[in-house]
Amino acid sequence: MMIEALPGINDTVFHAPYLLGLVVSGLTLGAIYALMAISMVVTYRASSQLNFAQGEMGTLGAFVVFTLCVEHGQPYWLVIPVVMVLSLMFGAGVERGLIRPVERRGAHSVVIITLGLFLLLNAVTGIVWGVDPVTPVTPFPSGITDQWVIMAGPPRFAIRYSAVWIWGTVAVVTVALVLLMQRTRLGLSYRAAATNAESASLVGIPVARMRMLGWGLAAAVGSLTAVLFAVQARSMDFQLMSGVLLFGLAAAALGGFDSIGGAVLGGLITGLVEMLVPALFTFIGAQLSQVMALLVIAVVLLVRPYGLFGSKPVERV
Amino acid sequence: MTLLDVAGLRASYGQIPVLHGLDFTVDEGEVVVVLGANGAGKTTTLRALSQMDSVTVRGSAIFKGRPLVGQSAQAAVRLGISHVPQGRGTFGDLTVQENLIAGAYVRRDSGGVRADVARWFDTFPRLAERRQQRAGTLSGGEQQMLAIARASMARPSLLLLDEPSLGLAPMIIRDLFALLGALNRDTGTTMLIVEQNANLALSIATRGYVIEAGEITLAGPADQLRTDDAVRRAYLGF
Amino acid sequence: MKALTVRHGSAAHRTIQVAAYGLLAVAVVLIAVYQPDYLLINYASVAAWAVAVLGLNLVVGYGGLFTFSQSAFFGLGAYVTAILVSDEGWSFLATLPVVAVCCGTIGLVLGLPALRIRGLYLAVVSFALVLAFPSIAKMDQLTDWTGGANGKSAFIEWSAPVWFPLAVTDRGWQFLTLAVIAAVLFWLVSNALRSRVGRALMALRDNETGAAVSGVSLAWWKASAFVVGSALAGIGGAMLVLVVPIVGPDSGGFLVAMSLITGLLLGGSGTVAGAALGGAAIVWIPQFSQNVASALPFLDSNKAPAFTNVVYGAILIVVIFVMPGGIVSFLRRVRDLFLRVEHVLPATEAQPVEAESLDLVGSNERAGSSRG
Repeated sequence: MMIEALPGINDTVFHAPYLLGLVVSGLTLGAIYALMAISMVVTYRASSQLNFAQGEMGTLGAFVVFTLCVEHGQPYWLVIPVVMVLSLMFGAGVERGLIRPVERRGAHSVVIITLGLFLLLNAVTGIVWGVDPVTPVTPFPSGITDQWVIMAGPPRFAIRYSAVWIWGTVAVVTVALVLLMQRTRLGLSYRAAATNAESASLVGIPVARMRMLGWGLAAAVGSLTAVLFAVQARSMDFQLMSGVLLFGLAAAALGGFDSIGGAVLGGLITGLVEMLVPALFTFIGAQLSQVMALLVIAVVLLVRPYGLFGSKPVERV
Repeated sequence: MTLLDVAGLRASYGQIPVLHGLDFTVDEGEVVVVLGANGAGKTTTLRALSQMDSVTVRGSAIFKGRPLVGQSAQAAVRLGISHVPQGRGTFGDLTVQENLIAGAYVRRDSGGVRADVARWFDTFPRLAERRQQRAGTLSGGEQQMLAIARASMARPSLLLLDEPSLGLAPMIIRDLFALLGALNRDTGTTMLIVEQNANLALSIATRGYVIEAGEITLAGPADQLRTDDAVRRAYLGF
Repeated sequence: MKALTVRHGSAAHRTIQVAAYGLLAVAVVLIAVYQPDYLLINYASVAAWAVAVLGLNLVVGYGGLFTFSQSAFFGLGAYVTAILVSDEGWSFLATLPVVAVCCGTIGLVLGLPALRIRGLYLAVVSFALVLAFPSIAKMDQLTDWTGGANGKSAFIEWSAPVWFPLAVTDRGWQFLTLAVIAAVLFWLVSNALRSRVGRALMALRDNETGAAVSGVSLAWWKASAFVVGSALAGIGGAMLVLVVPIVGPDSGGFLVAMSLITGLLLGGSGTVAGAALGGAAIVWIPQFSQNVASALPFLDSNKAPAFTNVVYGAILIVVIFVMPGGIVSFLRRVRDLFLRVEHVLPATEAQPVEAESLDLVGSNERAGSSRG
């Protein structure tokens, strides 16, 4: 192939098992980014704001799961939904107590609040649970050998069980959210409030409550994202979600900030780019690999300023 | 029978006062028109009646015997006030059908809602054709039809319309007011219409008021206003 | 006590302004002479950070472009100065124009495509830059210049010259120098903003469509804001090298970006004085947080540093609740108790506009009000 002749390109990438392995990793990471992106999109659609503390809220949730499951021996299939509900309440509370009072002063105020919350939660998590990494709860078998071997190799291509579980979870959550939004009265009211808050209140929709719901849902999804990421990484500490927040944002931007579907696609693409680009261009070096993914996204946004799947909003004069 | 009795209505946006004490009434079955230039306070009047968050309202507004001032926006809708905002206020990302259903938010009877949706699609075949289309893609005139239908889905006792003719082509405006007139005659829906386009509005109205700088300066039957010199010059242009 | 009222731009107003700035100058000199070295380091840092925040203010507060990436220029400026001083033997002051040109140019190159991108998308892209900076600084190919992960040290000899009449330590002289540089830059920017330039920028910040329709060339103004803002951020970074003679990959990283943004928003976005207060906030709040943290008895010592961030985060939230326009708006309210500046509108309309209360924060500041 011509490509192999180009300098700097790592041509071992094109060996099937290696490539497939990267694709699978990319899709797994991408699924997690997709979930984070969904969280960001939900918040943005509810309030036209970004919650920069979303990652840290998720980390907190993941640590609560950890404590309840690992230290108190509670079953994960009970704890995780309970913590998600608690996160929902926490997120709604944050909107009501911290965000709503300052919203009318402008976006800058809200940004500072979420940044302050970021610092606060990050530090609190570090204080309460310490800074050393711990092994997270493993709802799915996720040891080194828990995998389906597809090509015996060498090189080997195998799919970890945890990857499949992560895909499954993300798919279920996505479908559930879409159904909620599209097929229920609550979802319709939520979308109406997100589209046109003034008209929504004119038909009697409690817009403020819809905002709280949006932040609550985003927080619940955020906690789930943290739990899944910890499973994927097989380790967690108080810095767990800082990278994921960034990539979730990028994925949401790629998807256009408009829709859950866009967020999912954006997430998957981001994950793939993060895995494939550095492997393809090894001259970049490890330090820049994260940056490369973001720069690729930046280039896409240059060409399509409203993301790959977003629609240009009409500006009312 | 008096449906709405407003006395000494004052309204402001934050520190900026806009309405300085309005007194007017709307009787059941009437079409009342409020005329005024830009910035006179017409839109604010409707927003005050709908108890929107952006407006601070003082004074008295009794609707169906219940006080409006101090209620929430949602309560105003439940009491029976439906507001078609300036610029239509369509839920652009929702489909036409979803817009109608959203309009019926305060109603509990899903069967009745479905029946009403069907009825409105009969009245507006153009909307029926586009029922699954994103409402933001409709033309101005279609969005106005949709907005009126949406507001009517709540089966309101009082329909507030804020400059329905804004941004529409003249022929569409004629159809629009014909429709509003028919709606009032056939269903008895009481309407309070705020307009700059005085001529057509007055042609379907029972009575009218003129607002200038937050105060009512003229009031009377629609026919009288149509021939009044001052109104004619200011709003009808001749 | 009734407030004293002066007309904006009148002789009385100008006298008060000159007196206020004169007092400020005297205070600066007194600080330089009498404050202990360990505090002078902080004061000097405030000057450096204030310049950087001013740069960010131009881009975000006046230009309306919400971006995190000024920290990259801050770091770049620091590196350029460090390299020129320690490797090439340049004098410190000579490096500053180089830094300005360098950062301004790169700002232009990066800013031009950024013009196409809107709002939150720009924020995301600028995040990438912020992440990129430490990685690029650590790149193997550049280690000769940057010192890699260990950073680069650039100790600059800086003592008061013989002709200076007052006795100041080296730290004091550093502070004076930076204070003067900062004052000059603030004055330049403040004047530019009061002119047509500033009004155009503020018009486009408030309503892009309206501004475009009035003939303001959006792209040009935004690009200019970005260029000057980047240059200032770079100078700020360079200035800091005088005080803290080491530059590392994190000099332009996420923490710096966060500090700049919080400094801007705490001080008061969209005002020039706010930038100075923002610089002070960046230096003093972490110190304050540390003091509070170490004073608390129930924390063991290894957790105290983490608690600093708890206090920091709490302060951010509280300040925004209590002082929404930033510290500047709070101080203006205090000032209004004693001194009110009346703005007179030109010709046509009837009466002069009364001194505004701060609820209409926008109109007060944007009319180019008294203390810049």
